[in-house]
Amino acid sequence: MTDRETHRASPPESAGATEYRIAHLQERLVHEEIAEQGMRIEARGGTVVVTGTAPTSECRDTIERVVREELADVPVRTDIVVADATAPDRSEELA
Amino acid sequence: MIRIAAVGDIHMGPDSRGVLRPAFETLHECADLLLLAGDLTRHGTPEEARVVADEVSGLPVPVIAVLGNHDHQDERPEEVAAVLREAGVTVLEGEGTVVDVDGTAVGVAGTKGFGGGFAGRSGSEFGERVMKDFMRHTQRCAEGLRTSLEELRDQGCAVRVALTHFSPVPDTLAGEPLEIYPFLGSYLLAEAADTAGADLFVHGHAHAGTERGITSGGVRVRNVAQPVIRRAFAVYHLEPGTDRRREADALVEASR
Repeated sequence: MTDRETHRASPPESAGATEYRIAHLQERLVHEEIAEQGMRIEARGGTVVVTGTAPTSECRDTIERVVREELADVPVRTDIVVADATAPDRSEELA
Repeated sequence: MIRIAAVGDIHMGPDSRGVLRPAFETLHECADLLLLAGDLTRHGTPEEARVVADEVSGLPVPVIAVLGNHDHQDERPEEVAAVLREAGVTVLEGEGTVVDVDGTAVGVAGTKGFGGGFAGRSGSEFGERVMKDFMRHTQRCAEGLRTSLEELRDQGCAVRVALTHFSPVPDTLAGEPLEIYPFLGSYLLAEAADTAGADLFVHGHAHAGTERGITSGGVRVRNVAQPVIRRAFAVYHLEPGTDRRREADALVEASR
């Protein structure tokens, strides 16, 4: 096996594939029923991390389902919070 | 004192019906008006707009809104605006409105705004037709904002607020990837507010951004995207007649 052949079979190919799969996942989240654009989806080492704020718990469940479907063979960590709908307990003085 | 409540990016759909209403029903205790900074729906359908309309219908304070990019997704923004207007919401695009708060005229100038980027790192009206159209859309939004702020000044408003969906400054985008800044706002919006003057600039769109910023002309900017403020709305208190930009200009003039 030559050096060139070794390089051809090296990890960058799979890293590139993950990059494209994340991009396709983001497109699917935008175009499916929840129209989600606010998730940060990043490859970190061998895992993919999904973080952000979803409008409702139903939206969060949908995001997590779509992520599992798209990246079924990749370890995924999610940290998606649901938007807080409580009234504020303070204001800001801008005078 | 004028109390301004604001939130953007509430992204309502059938499953969020009633979620914000309990907080909105407390508005009369803490605010004189409510500003909605766009992305009120997910796909911009009239059905989703009805969820938003029901959420704000009959509130004890005036509700003033601009639309966001999500509210354009179904390419029926006029229908979305009409549903909101039927519920009593004032929907602005390149225009202003005046609210009387205990005898004080409060003006709100609104536009969706658009992207392009920030000074020194901005797209140009050059090249392909689609690129020119992109930048011209931002220019039209900024021009509408400037002229409506000037009209509000001429109408004697003691407080003027600029309301957009896209951001006028990079300050409130901190936390977003730098690569997408040109899709999040444009310096043309800040330039419009600095040229015409404003007491506060409220926007949304940048979910991972930060709340506070300022234009180079001294207009305070607040990103009220709900994921940023982490509440149903934020409240800002303004004293009429304290345009810091004019005060700063006066100081510069006096120092000459």
